[in-house]
Amino acid sequence: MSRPTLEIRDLRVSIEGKEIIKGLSLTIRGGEVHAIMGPNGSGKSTLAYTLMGHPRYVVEDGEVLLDGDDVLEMEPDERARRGIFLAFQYPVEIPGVTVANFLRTAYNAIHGGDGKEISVMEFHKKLREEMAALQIDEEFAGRYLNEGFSGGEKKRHEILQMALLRPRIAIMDETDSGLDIDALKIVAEGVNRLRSDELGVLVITHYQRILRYLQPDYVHIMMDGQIVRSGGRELAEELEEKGYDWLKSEIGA
Amino acid sequence: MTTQTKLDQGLIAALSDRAGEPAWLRERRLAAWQRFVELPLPAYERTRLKQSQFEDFAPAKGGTAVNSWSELPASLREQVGDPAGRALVVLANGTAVYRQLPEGFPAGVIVTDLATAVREHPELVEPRLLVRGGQGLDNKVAALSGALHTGGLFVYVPKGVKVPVPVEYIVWLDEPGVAVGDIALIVTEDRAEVTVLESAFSAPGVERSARFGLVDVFPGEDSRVVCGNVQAFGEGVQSLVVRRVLPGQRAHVDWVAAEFGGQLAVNEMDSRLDGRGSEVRALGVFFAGGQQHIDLELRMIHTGRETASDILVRGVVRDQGRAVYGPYTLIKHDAKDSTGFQRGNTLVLDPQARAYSIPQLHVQEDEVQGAGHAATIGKVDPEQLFYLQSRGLTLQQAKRLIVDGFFYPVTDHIPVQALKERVMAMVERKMAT
Repeated sequence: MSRPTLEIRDLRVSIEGKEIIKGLSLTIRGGEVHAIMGPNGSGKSTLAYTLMGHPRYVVEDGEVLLDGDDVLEMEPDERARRGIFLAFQYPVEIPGVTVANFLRTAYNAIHGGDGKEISVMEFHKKLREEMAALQIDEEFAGRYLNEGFSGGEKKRHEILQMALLRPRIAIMDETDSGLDIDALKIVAEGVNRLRSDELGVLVITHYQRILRYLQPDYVHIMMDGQIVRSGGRELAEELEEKGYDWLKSEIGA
Repeated sequence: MTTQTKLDQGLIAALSDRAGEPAWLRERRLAAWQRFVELPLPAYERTRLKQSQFEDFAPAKGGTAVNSWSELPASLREQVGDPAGRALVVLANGTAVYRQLPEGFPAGVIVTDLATAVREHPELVEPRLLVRGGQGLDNKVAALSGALHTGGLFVYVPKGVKVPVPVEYIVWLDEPGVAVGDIALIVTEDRAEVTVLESAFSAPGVERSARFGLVDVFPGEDSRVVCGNVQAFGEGVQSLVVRRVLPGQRAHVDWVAAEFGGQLAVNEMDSRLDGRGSEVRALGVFFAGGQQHIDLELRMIHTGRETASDILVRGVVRDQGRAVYGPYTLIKHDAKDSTGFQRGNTLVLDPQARAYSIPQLHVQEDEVQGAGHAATIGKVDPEQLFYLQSRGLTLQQAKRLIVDGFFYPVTDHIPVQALKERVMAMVERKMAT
């Protein structure tokens, strides 16, 4: 696999006629970790869902290109097969479907093309290894998808999927929310383990806490549907220290 | 109002002549015909049956008995699978054509076709065939099955005997435009155990044919009976079947109804919980697609004390499919310390599909242990679809996984592994088309 490039160009997105993202441009390359920070309602999660292709979000203008190919033309499953991954803020419960069954189906959907499906045995070996790395108990594989999972289990499960599916562009939507410090470390280590030139990461967060462990290369501040400032890691620290109100007055919002 | 079919009394009498059956059976057959003519159309709330659905059929020519498995039609063999080690009674177009029992089948257990049982075991058959606890035939479908039957199944398990393999009853159709009738009679003595699995299907392309079936189960005291059916007829076939059980004291019965096929299919399961401490659990799965109409009617009538019934049903409708889930629980006066529960959920996959849920629960006795019902009809959650699609599953794969998961609470409870696998395979097959 080659080094991926995701280009977002002057993106405008609305929900039910209301514009949420108002012209946003950003390029993420393999090997880079970008963080988008912003207050509630700034459009961060809308960006995440839009990149994955949620049908409720309407792209009014702009482009999203993965290695030059038009992502906006693709259904969500095609985006996934092309290597885009979204770690959900609120993973969805699917009763009666076990984690193991779901993960194997997803694995085969992404890596099992042309009859190269992984055997059940081989998959379970792989699954056990990845679960061990994320300190997930083995019995977890037999539980129903996200049903009755604690907040921490849900987030760890999202990272487990990321580890198994090996995306090229991973978007993490507030993966840090609702995690205690130990869980946060495990999740961050899980992501760090996957970092390579073949993976670009976009971390969406309200707080800079997770960024201490993930060490982003770029930090962008999002307000009212736009990136209002970009910088290095120090921008996150400054923001944490001074708060969003400081930034609002800085940019005259 | 009377009903006239292409079949008439003369033809029913001719069926009797051809079978060379004893006088008592001929009488009952003709009486059943009379009941059929007199009875009104069944009043299923969301399934309006028409006269034509009892009329527009010719009598079947019937199948030809064979001596070995390999002589059966290829498409029948294919659908039944490897027969090795299985207990099978096969009906083709209403007549018994094949039977086999595995080696080491317990002595004293009778598994045969109905006509043979009438000849060889009249002392067991006569007291129970087409008479049910003195109630006779109170249902038009049952009455027509009684009049029209040209074959069927007889199972008898003596006191204390456990039958180690499921008895499989194969109901197969490959004649177009015909009506067939069949009766299965299952009798267990005290403390006996048996599983009877019925599979109904048709050759590809069979149109405008109908099955009228009657299944009567008489579990003895303290016996355990599992009765499962998988109805997988082609979508040009009509399936109207009445299943009844009259459990003895402390008998435990598991019904498993799986309705996948047919253009119109009504499966009415009628449990009369009269024996003190008897228990009936019904699991149901249905899946109506295309232009299918499927109705699952489950009746639990408690007349005995300390009786328990439980209904757990899950169904899916898609395309222009229609499905009715109609559970009815009645706890009568003096059925003290009884329980009756119902749970049913239907998943609607497409906007033109329709599901109806008509739960009824009537408790006439004050001293019951518990009773309740819950029924829902819902659509697939688009957030579930998006989540699965975001992991690379196509829309179709995502729906399939959600449907599998939806059926799981029922399939997981199916007490016989072979039946569970068959039901899951049918769900798979339905989702793949």
